[in-house]
Amino acid sequence: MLIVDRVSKKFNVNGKEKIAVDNVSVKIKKGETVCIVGPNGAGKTTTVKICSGFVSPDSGNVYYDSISLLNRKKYLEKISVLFEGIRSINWALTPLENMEYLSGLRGIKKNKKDIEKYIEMFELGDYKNQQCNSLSRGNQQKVAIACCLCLETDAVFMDEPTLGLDMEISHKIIKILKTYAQTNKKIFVITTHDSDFIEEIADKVLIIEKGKIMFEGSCEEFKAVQNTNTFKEAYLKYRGVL
Amino acid sequence: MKRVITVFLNELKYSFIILNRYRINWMFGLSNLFLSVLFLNLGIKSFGNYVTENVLDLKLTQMIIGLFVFIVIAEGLNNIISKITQAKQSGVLEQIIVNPLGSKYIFVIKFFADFVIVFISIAIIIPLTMIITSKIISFNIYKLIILLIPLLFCTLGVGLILGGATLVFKKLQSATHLMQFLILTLMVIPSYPITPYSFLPITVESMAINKVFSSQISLSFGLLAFLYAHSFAYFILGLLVYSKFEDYAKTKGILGHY
Ligand SMILES: Nc1ncnc2c1ncn2[C@@H]1O[C@H](COP(=O)(O)OP(=O)(O)O)[C@@H](O)[C@H]1O
Ligand SMILES: [Mg+2]
Repeated sequence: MLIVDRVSKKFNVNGKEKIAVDNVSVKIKKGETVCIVGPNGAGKTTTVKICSGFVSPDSGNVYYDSISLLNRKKYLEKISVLFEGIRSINWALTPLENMEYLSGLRGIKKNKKDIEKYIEMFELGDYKNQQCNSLSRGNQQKVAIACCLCLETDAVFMDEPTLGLDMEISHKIIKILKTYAQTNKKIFVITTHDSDFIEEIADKVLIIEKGKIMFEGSCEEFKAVQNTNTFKEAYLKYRGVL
Repeated sequence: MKRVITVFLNELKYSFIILNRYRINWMFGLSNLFLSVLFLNLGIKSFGNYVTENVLDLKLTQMIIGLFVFIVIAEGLNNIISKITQAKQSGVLEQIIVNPLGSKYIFVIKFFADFVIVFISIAIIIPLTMIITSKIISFNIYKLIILLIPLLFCTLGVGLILGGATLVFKKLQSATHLMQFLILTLMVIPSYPITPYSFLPITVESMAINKVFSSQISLSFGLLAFLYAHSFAYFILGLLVYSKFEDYAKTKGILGHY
């Protein structure tokens, strides 16, 4: 279980204090997929960065199965993360090489068969020996996600995994992640603006605004509360734009 | 330990893959260095008309050794800083920071993996230089290794300090060309017998190699003890300072892309 315990983070922007994450607490069970939704600047990325050890919280703590974030070495063993916007891959390497390289960077020796499994899963077979700088953005993103999954950690954080991709690729990535989440009992924490993604994949939705959790529950519950048919309508209604 | 070896071999393998993929760049780099050696040689030879044979001989020897030391230091520092800069651009830095082994140890491993390649470059450049200058330096390989270890660890320590600083001060990476002057300065500051300057980084390590291999001094136990203590102190300092910079960057949220 992943426990986020009263985490807060302020940043200094031009001499003024800005609260990015405000006393966030949440518990996520093994096998659960959680989507974090909220307007730009709500604190989604900062939350993910704190949970993945990339930004230190001002107060509060995060635990994975009682291993504290402060016990960095043990904690980071349990998680992998896909950061927003950037594709955390080495451009000079091919998809196959990237998976081997990035696992190796964590001291994990992957065999070819293992890696091929992910190549197949993400339909990267035609490009597996092509340098990543010559791939399309969508395929680069697939490689980045595949690299993240092939670490086979207990918890996976993904910050806007379908950001800037066309509908078709987004749809494929959502399907792949859904199948993957269903067959592997892991924790997935995904931030997204993509309502299809949420409808397809989320066991739980967290809506955050100004760093605070405003709603925590299933997609169905949220739709019922807002009395709408789709998540998109429910969200827009909740935000007061519909 | 097994993991550290896996990471090291992985880095080594991919250093070679990238080297091979960009071998043209590497060869240009080598020829660049080679040309500067040619000119240096011409310079020393022409200045040689006014001095005795012995002085000329010493100058050539020192030039070759100096070149060797300079490549080791410059490549070492450049590796850490450019690794951080490149990693930042590609987004791999993020993966290094969240690596369970700890980013500073990853950079230490990368440093040593890269040195395998640096030594290949050196193994090409130095013999060529000796042929051109028709000055063959025979050296004792054990002595070289014993003196190279402090140089590497001291360079690593300085590299970690500068690398940590580039995590926090983004503009620093555009000042890296100034580094070569800094290194050259450090290399020529008089540091033997032990003076206050000897406590500066790199100075005493590079001086020791130069003086021992040009037979100006002999390797004493006292000197060795000082070299090892001095260089490991810088290495530890490097690890500590790097950690402080990383922690600061993590609190400010300024690591990598923002
Ligand atoms: N490193 C930083 N320095 C200053 N302000 C930051 C930093 N990172 C995030 N912020 C601010 O914190 C708030 C939350 O940002 P973020 O977590 O990126 O939101 P989201 O991902 O939900 O769009 C924003 O107002 C943003 O400007
Ligand atoms: Mg964001």
